[in-house]
Amino acid sequence: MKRREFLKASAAGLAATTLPAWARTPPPPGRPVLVVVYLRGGIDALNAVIPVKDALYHKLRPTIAISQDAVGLDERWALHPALAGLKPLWDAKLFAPVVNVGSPHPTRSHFDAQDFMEHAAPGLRHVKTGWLNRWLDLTAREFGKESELRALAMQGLLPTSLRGPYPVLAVPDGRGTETARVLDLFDDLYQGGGMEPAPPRAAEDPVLASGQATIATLRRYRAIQEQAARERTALRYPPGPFGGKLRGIAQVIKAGEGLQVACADYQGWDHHAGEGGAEGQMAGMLRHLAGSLVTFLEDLGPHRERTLVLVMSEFGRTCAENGNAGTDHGRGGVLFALGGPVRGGRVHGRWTGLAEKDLYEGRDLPVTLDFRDLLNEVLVRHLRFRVPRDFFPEYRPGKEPGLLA
Amino acid sequence: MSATALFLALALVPAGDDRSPLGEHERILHVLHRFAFGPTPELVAEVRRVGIVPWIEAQLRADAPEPDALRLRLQRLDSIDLSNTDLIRRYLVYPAQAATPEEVARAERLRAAPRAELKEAVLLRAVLSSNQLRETLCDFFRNHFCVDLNKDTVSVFATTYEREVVRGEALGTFHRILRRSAQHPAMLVYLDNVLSRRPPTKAELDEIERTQRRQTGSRDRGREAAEIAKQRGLNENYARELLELHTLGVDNGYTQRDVVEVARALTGWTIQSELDKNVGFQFRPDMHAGGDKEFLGGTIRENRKQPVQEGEQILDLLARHPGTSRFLAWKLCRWFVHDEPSEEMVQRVARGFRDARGDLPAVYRAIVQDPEFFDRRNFLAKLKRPFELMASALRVTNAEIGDTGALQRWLKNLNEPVYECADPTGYYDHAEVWNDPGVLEVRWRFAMQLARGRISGVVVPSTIYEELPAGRPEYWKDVLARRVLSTSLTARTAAAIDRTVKEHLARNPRAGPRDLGPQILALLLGSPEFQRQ
Repeated sequence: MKRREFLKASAAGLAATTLPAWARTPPPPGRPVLVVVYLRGGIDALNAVIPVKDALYHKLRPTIAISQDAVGLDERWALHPALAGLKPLWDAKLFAPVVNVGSPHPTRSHFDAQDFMEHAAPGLRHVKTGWLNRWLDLTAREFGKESELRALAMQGLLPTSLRGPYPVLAVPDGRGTETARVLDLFDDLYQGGGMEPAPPRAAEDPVLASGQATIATLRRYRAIQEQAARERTALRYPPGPFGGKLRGIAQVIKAGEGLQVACADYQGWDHHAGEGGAEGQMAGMLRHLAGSLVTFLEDLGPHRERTLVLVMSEFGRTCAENGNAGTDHGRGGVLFALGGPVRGGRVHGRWTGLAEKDLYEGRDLPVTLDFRDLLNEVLVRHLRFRVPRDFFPEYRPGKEPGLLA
Repeated sequence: MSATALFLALALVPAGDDRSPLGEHERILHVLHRFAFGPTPELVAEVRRVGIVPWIEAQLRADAPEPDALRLRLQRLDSIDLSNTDLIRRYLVYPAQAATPEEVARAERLRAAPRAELKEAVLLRAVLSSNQLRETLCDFFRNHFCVDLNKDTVSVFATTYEREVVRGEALGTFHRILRRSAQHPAMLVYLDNVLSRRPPTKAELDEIERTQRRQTGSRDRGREAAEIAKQRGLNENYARELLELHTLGVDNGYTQRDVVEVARALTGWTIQSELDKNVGFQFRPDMHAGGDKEFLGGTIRENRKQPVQEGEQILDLLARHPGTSRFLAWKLCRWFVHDEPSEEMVQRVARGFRDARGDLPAVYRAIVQDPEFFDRRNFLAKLKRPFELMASALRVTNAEIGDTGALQRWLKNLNEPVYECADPTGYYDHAEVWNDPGVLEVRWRFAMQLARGRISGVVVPSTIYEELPAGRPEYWKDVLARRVLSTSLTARTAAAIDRTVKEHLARNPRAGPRDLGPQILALLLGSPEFQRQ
């Protein structure tokens, strides 16, 4: 399919009045934007992007395998029916899944796996800064003056990937009018009102530093929000825990105020029991995920050409279902990439099949693609960053995976 | 010297290079920041009167009479003293198909009641209990052995979990609290052990196939049923978290194989759920996986007579394991001493843990009596978690709490709703997690709304403004700081509040203590000083 071809897509889950046309247009001016969505709990990769040709798939999953209704991508792969909304994006080359991706460290602990991945330092407990924060910090001189709001997380607490020395806003819930009032009240106490004694440096008092960053970045964010409220869009995000976060991120990207990185978590993918197949617990979550992502890309309009969305998770799950129509912690998983910069319409990664001898410890998908290879490519190609040698500790980039155009 | 001047002399300084030993007043504050939900002027005076060590010893007995304000409130919470059976009977009500909207609404209200009352009891006790030390330890174990109200029937079982496991054993032995958590329905449901069972035998599979074939007359259906049954089996969820989060700590000398073997040993640990009997732990031999279990380099022999003892043997082993004493010592020191406790102190406390065979009061003594506990490095070195911030704010303001519904919503907004941590890690306690830019805005908003009387169900009594000397607004912040912080303000915060007061007085020269007091109080509760402990 040609890149600029005009596509009429009727994505499942979207109102008939809002058929998105995934026309490819040159992006408006602005820096590249990276949006990282983290599916907490370890998404069951095999029921999201399904190896339809592999007979073992059904054998390993007698109650939760997806048999009918899977949405074919190519001769080998299909999407879970609840992800049908992503198919038009695949057709427009704006979406690509990556299979057998994961960490070289074999931990099956959620909390270790997430930390190792978000620090981009598997097994290295001394590394305490998130990989996105390291990038923000190392490029502070280049971009820091341009914007007070280079990065944010659309949730009350930052994900580990954004934690570190560079101040990043965790957007709190709350009404704008009260926020303005509270920021005014505490401005003097935390910023010193420009008077003596001078505000101490961040290292000396983390609470003061956090307060100062709160006031500066939250004021900026609220101003953008007020502006966005005046230019209301007709788009409706699916109601649920995740859609609203993407709406907020889209507002800031479209405002053109220099946002470069945004994160949003989606909790609850740890389906040890009652995961379900074409319908059920996970299906409902996938539907919300896909609906939100599709609406987000539509909302971005031409800005999607400069926006890359990565949807990641700490690990995949056991290939066989367990005793409770669920799956336990596994190893290799799946990642989604969306947006203009993606080499979309193809499945990336090296698939190794489901034969027991090919599985990690006879039970999990092996990792054939180190997640750092992908992050490295994103930094180099998308954010145009000269990655210093020790940026990913104890790691040397492998062959570029070719995820991005 | 006036009281105000005395407190000005005790400046709250960040640790920095100061290595001087803590003074008596600072030592009292430190104990109350660690083993109470913050100092109040009344409690500081009490500890000064009885002495720090006798106060700790009395608190370890946890037999101080509770104030009427708490007792009467708890009496009105109908669900908190019920058994599992009664909780299910009374509250887990689902309306019939043909129910009227009123009946549906009533059932919903009933189902929501136990969780609301549990949250209320937890917060009220933290704020009002005379046995503050026990409350801080309950706070620790509620997070160490975390369960989440939002998972299935944990919503009712959490009530007895709080009473029997958390409150019942926080001053007992580690072995007992471990075992009671392992066998409690709330934990069995939360981490899925209730579902874990041995895989079916060949003979059972053949039987399933035959039965299904007979019933449906289809060979394929028979085979399919057997195929499905074959998949039923172990669930590793609890076994993994038992090792990783409850006892040894992650990567502490166990393997995936150990996780599976623990899961096998614990098959059959499930719940008796028939309502005509007592709902609670039950061992089901038919779900239990036979055979020996290889665990941590040893063998747990198959126990055909008492298979439940295989799991108990594993819990015994874990409770006695040196790795567990080290992990618990480190975690307790991090919670009660410093985000990064010194290796030496952790080792000493771990030794105390082993010497006392996990007797928890002895472990707490080992922490307080450690030569490092009163080190200046630890003084005000921890950031309050949202729960600690709220409890301490309500305590220092003598807040009258009518209903905690609004406060629970604030805790949610502050990212720490009671008994709702989705991860089995429990809420983290180190500063890094709670100090993101943006987070303080919610703390400030809470401080402002509390001081202005805008949190429904909560009243800050105006009596706290009675101590403010009329006509001397320059002293008001100092008098209020003495109540809120039990110490004086940093020059920085004092100067900022002075400017705010001056501005206010310029606009409204006749503003009295009741006009300006709430504003000053909000600034104090939102100050950097009050975020620390």
